[in-house]
Amino acid sequence: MKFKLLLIIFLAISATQSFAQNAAKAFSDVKNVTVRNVGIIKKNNIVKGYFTFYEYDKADKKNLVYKLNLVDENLNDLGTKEITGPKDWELVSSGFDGNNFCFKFYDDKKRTFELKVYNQDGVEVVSNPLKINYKPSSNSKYEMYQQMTNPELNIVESNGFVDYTFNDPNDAFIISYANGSTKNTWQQTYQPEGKSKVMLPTFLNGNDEVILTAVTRIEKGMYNTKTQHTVLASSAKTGAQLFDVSTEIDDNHVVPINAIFENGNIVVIGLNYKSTKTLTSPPDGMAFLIFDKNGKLVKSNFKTFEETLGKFLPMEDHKLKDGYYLYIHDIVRTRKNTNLVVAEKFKKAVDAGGVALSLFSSKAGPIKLQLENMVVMEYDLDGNLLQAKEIPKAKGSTGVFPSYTGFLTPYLLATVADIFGWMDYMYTVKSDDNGDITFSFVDYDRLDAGAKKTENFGQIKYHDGKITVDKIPVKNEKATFSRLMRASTNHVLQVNYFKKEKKLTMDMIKLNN
Amino acid sequence: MLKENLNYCNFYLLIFFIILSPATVYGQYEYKNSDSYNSFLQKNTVQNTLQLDKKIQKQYRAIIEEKNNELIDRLKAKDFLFDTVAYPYLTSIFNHVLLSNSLDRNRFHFFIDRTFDVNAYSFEDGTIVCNLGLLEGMENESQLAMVFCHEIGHYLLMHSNKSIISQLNKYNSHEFLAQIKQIKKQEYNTKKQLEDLLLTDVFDRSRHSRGQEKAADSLGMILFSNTKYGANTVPDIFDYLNSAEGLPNAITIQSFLDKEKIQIDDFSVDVPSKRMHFGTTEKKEIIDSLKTHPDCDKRKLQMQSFFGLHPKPGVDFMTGSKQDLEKIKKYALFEEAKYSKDKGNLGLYLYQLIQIDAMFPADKGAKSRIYNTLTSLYTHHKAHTFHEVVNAVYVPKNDKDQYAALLKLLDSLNLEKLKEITNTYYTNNNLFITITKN
Repeated sequence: MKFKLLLIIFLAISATQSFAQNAAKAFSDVKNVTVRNVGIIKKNNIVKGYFTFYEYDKADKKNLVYKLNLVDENLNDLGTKEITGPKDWELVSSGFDGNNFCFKFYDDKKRTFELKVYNQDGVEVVSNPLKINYKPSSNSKYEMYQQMTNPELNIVESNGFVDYTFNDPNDAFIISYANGSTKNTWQQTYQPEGKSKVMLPTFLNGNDEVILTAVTRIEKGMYNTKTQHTVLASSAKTGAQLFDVSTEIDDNHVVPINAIFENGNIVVIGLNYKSTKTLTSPPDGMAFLIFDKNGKLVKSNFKTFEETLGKFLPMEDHKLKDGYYLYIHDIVRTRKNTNLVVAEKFKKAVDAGGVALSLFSSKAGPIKLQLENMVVMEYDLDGNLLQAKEIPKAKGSTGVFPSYTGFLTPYLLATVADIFGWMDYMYTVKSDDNGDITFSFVDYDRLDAGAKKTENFGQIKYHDGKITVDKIPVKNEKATFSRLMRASTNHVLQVNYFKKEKKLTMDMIKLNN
Repeated sequence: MLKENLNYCNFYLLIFFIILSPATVYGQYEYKNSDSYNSFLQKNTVQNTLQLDKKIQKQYRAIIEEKNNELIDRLKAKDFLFDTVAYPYLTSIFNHVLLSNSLDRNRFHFFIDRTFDVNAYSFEDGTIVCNLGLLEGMENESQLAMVFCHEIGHYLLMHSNKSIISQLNKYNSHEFLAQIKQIKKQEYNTKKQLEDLLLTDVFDRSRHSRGQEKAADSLGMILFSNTKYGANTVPDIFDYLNSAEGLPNAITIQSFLDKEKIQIDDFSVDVPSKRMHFGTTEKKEIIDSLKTHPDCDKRKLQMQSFFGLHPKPGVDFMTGSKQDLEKIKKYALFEEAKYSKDKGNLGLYLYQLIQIDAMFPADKGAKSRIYNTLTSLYTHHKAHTFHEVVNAVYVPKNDKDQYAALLKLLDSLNLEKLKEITNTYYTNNNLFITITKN
């Protein structure tokens, strides 16, 4: 039947005779396909396009033919590639480094992660397979690792891709690198002395010479919550460790968030804590560290929130007024050479429903977090706060925490809430030159005085010192359901499904700011 | 004074306006004979179907009915033009071709498609369509007559009908069905095999189609030889087809911004030459194999050769004059733009208006329309419905594609900047602007 329909489509084309040559595509996707994966292709925080990965045909007994289709950020078709792979293949993540595309696949049968790099002709130029010694779906440590680390592929500034894979039973991680231009690949296991309870990598930056990774480590010990933070530098050419330097400086404990290569040095921007309990206590301020290329500390600068924020936000007894905390989501360097911080105000609250519920169930406790306004702060390179702006959003709350987490500190609860995706901040997007930086969030409020309360998408945009906000409802009123996906700094991609019409639409909505 | 200018051609045109163009009563986008046309299509479909082998009748009918419905839908959607300017003019040329060749007018229907695409096309039922976009490159009526002769040639040679029947016969043949059966039996790579089979079929049809184009050219030249038009400039049509880009390109977007003293920081309207892509581009031989039309250069040589052997003297204008054609071409540009607006494509409408304004600066109407369109775009931007009226999904034709440059510009503007541009444009042109709601 489908085949006949296909014929009719083909024949309908030939019912017309035209005078001029029209551009015609030989085949469009008329097959009945099941979309298995849809995702975003990014170069760092810049959306470059979207991919769909779907089963197309049976290749042989063990393998399927998949189709990998790419569209650019404006949804223009970039091309389709047929790839033959195992039946249980999964496309985990993707990236674009300006020259090549990289896709990370997982083969459950062989328990192998593989980075496959394709050039823009769709030809595979290099691959980096990594066999793991555990089954991800049944490894609780892996699950925790997955929740605590960024699952996306990391893009090296000039060329190449970096990925971190959990390594069991050593509770460490393996760095995988693949560069389509030089065809260079390597894997390096990070395993410092001493046993660890938790070991989490965060990609900071990379270039032709060095890959920088922030490592968070908690040593073994049942009640140990003391964290250690280091900046690990690996050779981009071989993966060899160049240095692994602690960010504990006197009584300052710095959690690196971002790093920038500047005048041959490495500038690390992070949050500063006055205790080693960086997972459980709120940060005291910002830290700006400069290391030389050998990992030697050249300069450090620490600014407390108290001394900087007071001019812009209401403070009381060395804290934000009314017992609020700031949860820092991201720090980005702007084109003006300033550091932009996005945070969310929150405080611990008691959930009335939760109290009642906890009488009957041991699974939920009365604790939740009350989420309030977004806060954007701009610092100069010396750590002086240039501006701080509260972006109003409706008061909301996280889900109710399990009862066993009730004793945890508010900041740790916020960390957990962030991992669970309960906070309202969504993501950061930049333009190529960092001229535009946007932070997106969810807001449950009325857009107009007379309107109903709806789930809204909010975008804070920073452009040369100016901060503006725009909001749109997440759901298209006519659609059965809607989903928003990240897009370039001026847009958000709204995917709508219309059940009655059996129609799926993708609208690139232009935002006002 | 009026009497002095009323030459034979104008008189012919006047008579045509009065007698042959009653469609004007119904409005310029409504077809007066819509009901009878619908009946004609149905009757024609039944007659053609009955002449076929029974095993393909049902499929044939389904295909043609789908086409008929689409044509009727497009008529209802006001996609065709039945005005008092272009329609009578072009119909007059079309009818002259029919009369000169003793062809029964009742077998044909002539429409003008409002799109800017440079093309004309025909259907198996005798409906011949000329796009407004074709007019821009036409130097005279002779060239238009030749295009119509080519399309009439397709109809007389029953190319569309023969193609459909031939394809249906093929798809119902034992050989083809056996191939399908064989593929279905396979366990692996069935879709690939099916695609290959269909690709071979597409190549065959493309080759066949190129043959049909040559035949339509040949018959078209014979039909043309019977008209009063001269063939001197007729082969030049192919030069235009070779270079035509469809949309006018009288001013670059950067020049427009400079002219209006509009400054946009951190932005270049240049279309990036290096586009990201994925997958190999189709090989030239495959693209060539898929072409449904022979190369314009070859077609031009064949036409020159024919008229070299069979010279065809005659006039280049009969229905109107060179000035009349130029007026109609200008009118067509406005009408194409209006069509973009009617279809809700304000981005394209704005582009067409900017070009029209550059081509006819004395015509103040374009300025009002540009301002009103900018205002409308602002309203849509504010309401987050900008994507509904600006086609962001557009592949630039080349590095100099100015429509792509305008889309890039519109895409980069925030609400505040769009307002600033709209206000600047108003300040610069307020003497000529009448505010209306788009």
